[in-house]
Amino acid sequence: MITVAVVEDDARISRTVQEVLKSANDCRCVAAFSNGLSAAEHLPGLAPDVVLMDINLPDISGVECVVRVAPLLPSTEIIMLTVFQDPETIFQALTAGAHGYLIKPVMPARLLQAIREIREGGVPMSPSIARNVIQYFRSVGSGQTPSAPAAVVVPPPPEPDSDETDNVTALGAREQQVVEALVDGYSYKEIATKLDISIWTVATYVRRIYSKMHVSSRREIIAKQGGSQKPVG
Amino acid sequence: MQLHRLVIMCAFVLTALVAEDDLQITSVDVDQTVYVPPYGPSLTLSSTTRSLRFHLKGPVEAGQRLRYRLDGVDPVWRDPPNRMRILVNFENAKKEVVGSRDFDLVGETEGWQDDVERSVFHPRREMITIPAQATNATLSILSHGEDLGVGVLGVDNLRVFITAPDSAQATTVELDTTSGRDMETVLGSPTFWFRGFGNRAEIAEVRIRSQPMPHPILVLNDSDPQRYGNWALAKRPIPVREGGTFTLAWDTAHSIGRSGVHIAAYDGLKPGTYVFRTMLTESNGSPTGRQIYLQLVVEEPLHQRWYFWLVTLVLAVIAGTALGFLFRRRVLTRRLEDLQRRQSLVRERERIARDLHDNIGAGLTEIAMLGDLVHSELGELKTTEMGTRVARIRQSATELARSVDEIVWAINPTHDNLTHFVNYLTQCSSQFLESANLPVRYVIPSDLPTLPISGKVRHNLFLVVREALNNIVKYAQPSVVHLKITLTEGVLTIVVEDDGVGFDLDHPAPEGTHNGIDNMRRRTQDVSGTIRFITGPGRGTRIEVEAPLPSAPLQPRGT
Repeated sequence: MITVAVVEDDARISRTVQEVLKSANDCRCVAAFSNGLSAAEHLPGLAPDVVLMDINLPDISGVECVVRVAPLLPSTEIIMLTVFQDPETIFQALTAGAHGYLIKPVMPARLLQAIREIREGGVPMSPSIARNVIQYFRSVGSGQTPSAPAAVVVPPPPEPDSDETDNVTALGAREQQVVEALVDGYSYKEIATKLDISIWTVATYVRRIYSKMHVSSRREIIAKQGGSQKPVG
Repeated sequence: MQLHRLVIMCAFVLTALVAEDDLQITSVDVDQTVYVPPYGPSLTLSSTTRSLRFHLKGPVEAGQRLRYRLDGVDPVWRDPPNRMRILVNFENAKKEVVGSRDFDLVGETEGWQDDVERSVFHPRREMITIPAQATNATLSILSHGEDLGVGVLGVDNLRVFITAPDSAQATTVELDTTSGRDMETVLGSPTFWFRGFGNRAEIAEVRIRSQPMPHPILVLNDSDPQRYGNWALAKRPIPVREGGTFTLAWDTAHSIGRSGVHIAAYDGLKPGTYVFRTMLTESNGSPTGRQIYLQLVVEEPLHQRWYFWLVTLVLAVIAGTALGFLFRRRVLTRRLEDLQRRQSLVRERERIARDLHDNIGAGLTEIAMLGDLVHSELGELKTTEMGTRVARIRQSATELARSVDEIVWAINPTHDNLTHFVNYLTQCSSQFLESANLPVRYVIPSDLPTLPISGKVRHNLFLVVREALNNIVKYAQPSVVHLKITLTEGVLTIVVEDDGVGFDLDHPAPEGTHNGIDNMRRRTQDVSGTIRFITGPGRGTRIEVEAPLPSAPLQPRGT
């Protein structure tokens, strides 16, 4: 049984999503929040398997909420849920700690599929997200964002290949290949064929890329907090 | 000794007191402006001065005359115009006047020497046609009783020539002015003349002129501005005949002017420095020594003065700077207002976008999801008419939700830049083609600048691309779709290419395709762009859209 929490300010959508979850026999809705602050407060205690997080919330944004809860929920998958097709915001959420996103209106079947997939390690990355990823690592690599000393220990994700480095400010060769293929519009399946790897390996690379972004962005936040500033959204 | 000195001092003071008032320039009219004493060292007049009027005032009672002169304009002293005259009256047999002529004697004759006896005399000759009914002519020499006229007139060698109407022969009539009683004194009585109708008989005098031989002459010596005198030839009427000519000849010397007040007029003075003088003379024109003057400066026209161009230049620079400053300030003010207006518009657009998203978008999402939920719960009933209708509700709500999403995206000013546009375009196209199981390849430069691109341009270009993708999914049956975006010299080029069936551009076979093409053309034109279709049956389709973008990089904006 997959435990799911819903953070959605629109009561109609929240209710509908809950109904969809109820209709599935392998999912269970454990909590629903209508604002970001209460979600940020209670989610760490609940530690659900999956959080469906709306981006446009009335108090703090969904991205800000992710920034706050993701470090405290290492085994929780956060899926951004938004009607607003805004790749930049989605990318910010992914950088902050989310692993997936769904564009509303999302059909119940697609919603449940995404929840199941992400539990099995499948993470999406659209071409436009991939473009942002490349730009992100270019700026991080060139030192445009503040980089902290290597004192922060990064737990490396499971390694299917050995040629990857632990450097969180740069993409490994395979990761780079995957992202570039995504930018060009290739699907996971096509990339798998192209690179002669399994589709799940492709997904793993993508997940690793997201993880690097999380670590990197968290460093950034730590650096900023060190500069006596509040966490950014 | 003491007394003597006191008398001299008193005389001095008296003179000064008299001098104070006896002669004045009471005012100077310069065009519309009236200057009154004290005038200062000089009177400065503008170069545009047209008319000058000096109001002069002298004593009336003493019979002293006013004279004036504008140095540089008047070659000699001028008398206020005034006259004495010689009057010829023609009478009929009943002694009634049937015609008259008078000859004016004005100003001062050349060679005038204060005393008429010593002055140069000038011959004068006047001819009259004798009027009808005239039988006799009489003569009188008159001083002027009006206009404060004063002066001295000497008449010598007076004679008349009469011609009959039918004859060229002239008869000379000698009007003897030399013989008579007491002729060596001023009160002498010439035989044919008498001190006639004047109101001051003493004005008519007899003087002894020395040239060419000493002999008496008739003189009017008028030093009384209010009264006049005359010499009349009454005791000897001159017989005349109607239609003949009457010629009067005499030698004259005179100096005639005015006392009291006068207005000296000058018009159209050229730029320069002038001295206006006025003085008092005795009634015979001999100066009393009393003279006053006023210096005048008529300014050079502005453009003729040495400093004009310098001042003009300095003023022009100052004015230019000031104007530039004002203009710049206005431009800045306008820009600020523009910015404020634009910002309020931005806020309004953000509000509308939020409302659309929160209300309509969310509601449609709910309908779509519920529709799908119901549809999946129908189970076997999915194939029934009810199932189809539920599917249509879901489909419709889904499409509407997407449309709202697009509109929200289009009007939200946060997305008014090229990066957002390209991200959105790839996001939507990849999702759309993925759902159609069509592979897509992107060729998009990773370093596109953050150029501003308005909601209108974004939306139109997006709809053109979506229409193209729609057609591909519906008709083209391609194996792959290419989407290429380039930016060259401010022109955004979007190429959508497929390797599908293509179509005949002149006869697009599938229903509605033609309409879609027209729509794409119209939308491209709306953003001042161009669109090209490169296709043919079996050749795939390549659509090239070009649209100009403003080249100024977008200012970073706080959200």
